[in-house]
Amino acid sequence: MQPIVTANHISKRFGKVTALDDASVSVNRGEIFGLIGPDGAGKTTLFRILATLSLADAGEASVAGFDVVRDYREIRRRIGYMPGRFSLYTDLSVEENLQFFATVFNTTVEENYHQIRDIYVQLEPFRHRRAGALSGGMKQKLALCCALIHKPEILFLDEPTTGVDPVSRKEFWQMLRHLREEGITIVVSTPFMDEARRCDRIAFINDGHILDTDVPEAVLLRHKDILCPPGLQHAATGNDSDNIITVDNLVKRFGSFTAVDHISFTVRRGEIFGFLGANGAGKTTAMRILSGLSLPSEGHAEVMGYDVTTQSEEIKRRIGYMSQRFSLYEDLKVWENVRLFAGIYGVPEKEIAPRTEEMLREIGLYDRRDTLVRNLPLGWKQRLAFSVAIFHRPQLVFLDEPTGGVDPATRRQFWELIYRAAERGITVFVTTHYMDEAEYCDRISMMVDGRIRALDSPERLKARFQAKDMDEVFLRLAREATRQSD
Amino acid sequence: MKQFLAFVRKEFLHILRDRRTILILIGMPIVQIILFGFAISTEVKDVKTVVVTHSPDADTRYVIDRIDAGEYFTVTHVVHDIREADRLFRRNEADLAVVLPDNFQRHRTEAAGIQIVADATDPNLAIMRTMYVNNVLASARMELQKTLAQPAAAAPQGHVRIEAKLLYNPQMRSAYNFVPGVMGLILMLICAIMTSVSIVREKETGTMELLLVSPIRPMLVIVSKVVPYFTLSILNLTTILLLSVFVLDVPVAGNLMALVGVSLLYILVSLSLGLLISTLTTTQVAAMLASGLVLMIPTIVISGLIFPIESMPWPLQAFSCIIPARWYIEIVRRLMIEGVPFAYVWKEALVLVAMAVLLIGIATRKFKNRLD
Repeated sequence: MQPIVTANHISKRFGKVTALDDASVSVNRGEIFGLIGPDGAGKTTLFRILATLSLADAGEASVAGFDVVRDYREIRRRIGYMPGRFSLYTDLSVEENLQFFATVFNTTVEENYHQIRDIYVQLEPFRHRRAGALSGGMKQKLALCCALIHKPEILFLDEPTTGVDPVSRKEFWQMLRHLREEGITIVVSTPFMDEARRCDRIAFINDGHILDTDVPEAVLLRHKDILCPPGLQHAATGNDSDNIITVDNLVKRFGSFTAVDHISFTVRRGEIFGFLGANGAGKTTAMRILSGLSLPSEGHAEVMGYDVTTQSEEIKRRIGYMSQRFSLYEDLKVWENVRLFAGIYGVPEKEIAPRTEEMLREIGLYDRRDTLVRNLPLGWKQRLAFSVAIFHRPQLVFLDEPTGGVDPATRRQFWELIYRAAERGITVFVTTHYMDEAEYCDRISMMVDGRIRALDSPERLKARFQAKDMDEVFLRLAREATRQSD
Repeated sequence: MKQFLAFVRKEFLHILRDRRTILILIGMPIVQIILFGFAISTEVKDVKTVVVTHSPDADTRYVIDRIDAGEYFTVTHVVHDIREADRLFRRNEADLAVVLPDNFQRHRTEAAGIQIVADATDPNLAIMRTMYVNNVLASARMELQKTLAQPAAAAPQGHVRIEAKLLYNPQMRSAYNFVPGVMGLILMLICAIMTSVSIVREKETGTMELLLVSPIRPMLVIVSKVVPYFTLSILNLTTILLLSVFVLDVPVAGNLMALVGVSLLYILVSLSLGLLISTLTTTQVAAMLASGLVLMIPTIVISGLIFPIESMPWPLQAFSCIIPARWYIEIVRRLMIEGVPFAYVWKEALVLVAMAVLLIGIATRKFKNRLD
């Protein structure tokens, strides 16, 4: 079969950093081709070179039979491209975005409506809403519509489902299968292994090298130590009698919108508590209230015996917090960041130096203590941010999607750190999108539309829903909720 | 054409939906015109004056009254010792001191040494004040000499009477000086900031990536960015002219059409500067800083807005030639304040045309077809 996309010995450097090194791939017409690899592996660079946005330093590539350098105009007419981050006009409505991109490609929404109908029917109820106000899943569907409106031969999708909840991810992939049946070739990158399995073939890319290209099962098997690490063993440490967080009928409203709707639960001292939910389910809002950053509209919550409404300062002093946005100073060195946050949290002056050394040795960063944080790989930054968040030895630490954008092996290393913290008696309250991580928790709560739908240990939840893994539990719950809210 | 209209429509939607943009676009000209027009003033008014004298005779009293009479000076203290005046200067209770000689009355006929001491922290202001007080003193002495009973002896022979006539701005109102400058400043800032930020925002949010991957021509992206802001700038120009005529009382002395034409030309130059900045920066903050600070400082300091270009050292004079505001302000002063016909300023206008062509040329060449 004639390949529709080929890249031969592509290399690309940005200053000292080698983004791609002698990378070659070829994609067959009509297949879904997956690019699998951690953040910074070179996936985005490869996409940009193929989409004619970036010039390679060496090597050549062709798309739909045209050279990416010489015939870039021809290629631009024939491809649909979705960049890694959401790149539509957030201040334009759904309809306005779609019409604009249709006009840019010299076509109209009406002309190619059949192309996007299946996806667009889901967006139709929100067509006057601003794109910026859509949920994560809806945004990605709109972006896909905009990329499809001119009937491209090939779709380049750069991590289209990052930050999207499992239900929306499933739907998104059903759409991709459907497009494939219509003969569109799809090149897609993803950090999720379940999505990798849905491709026809995948290429595993790491550090700018393409390490393997084959059908998904073969690649995942050959590189299972990185892509499918074995699960972690952990003895449940929760103590039934002692609750560190007590939440009673907590409500948070933003105008007429109820983000958190009468939730009640308790977290036991010493346990790892997973706080799960779809995008916009209210996880981050609830977590902000519990960590003293935001006030509840109604209800009562106590953290370590302090009331979140009246004693938020006491709470803030005694907890650790790591947000989904990486929260260290990129332009400070590793040890300078540690020193800074130790000072902010009032760690005694004498203890800072020995504790810093101990901590950096533990996470393997001691030799790189003089490196600017900016130059660390994302996985290391995350481990450092976590260690900094618990440096002042809090009883409780809040982690808001701490492992976004890294490969499974790196995420597993992060969880080893969480377990070590738990062994020291620190209670861990963590939100995540990754269902394999949910299984690492002692207990999890599933939040849907502002309410807690289920709360139990992973084993008992799986038994209750007769599901083989947490992914399935989540899907059942979320589907149920969507039906109820309609 | 359809693509172009879709672009322009989209651009207007961006502007209309962003309250901050609207506020800057509409609010900034009004605030600046009023600030510069009223607050910054080099007019001499109510200057706190100390008179130092040892002999409080009738002549001294007469001179003090004359100084105090107009609205220019207010005699706040009459002291006997120059050291006392010095103390008042230090406590910021005096801006100007007039030191009269001992036995002032006896010196009536001779050239008596009167000393004027001025606080020169602001040199321009100090010079103006000494000039004014000099005039007051001179006329007061003339009056005094007339009252002497020796008309023949007193009238100086062959005396030449010098009379100064102030053209175009007889009342010496500083608004006449500032309005053209402020026009140059505001139009430059708004056009450059708005275009550069709106393009760089698309780079930042990633939409530029999508536009590049479309078959659309870069030139179209650029032109469709310029059109909405050009329209808005015309609105701004109207606001500024209305404000200066009806609020600041600065009339348009010359041909209004010529003034508007030159202003549109200047707006085009500013927009293309914004385009150029947008090709050189990648973040909105950088674009804002580049167009806000890097453009603003030379436009204020060496365009002739505040300090006259003629009195600058030659390197700065040479540098001022590449600042569009310098030429625009010059033209506006002549067209609007002096009221000369357009034929007198065609050379300056030609410089602006050349700048526009050059800047648009560089900006379109620099506008990249790819990300790197």
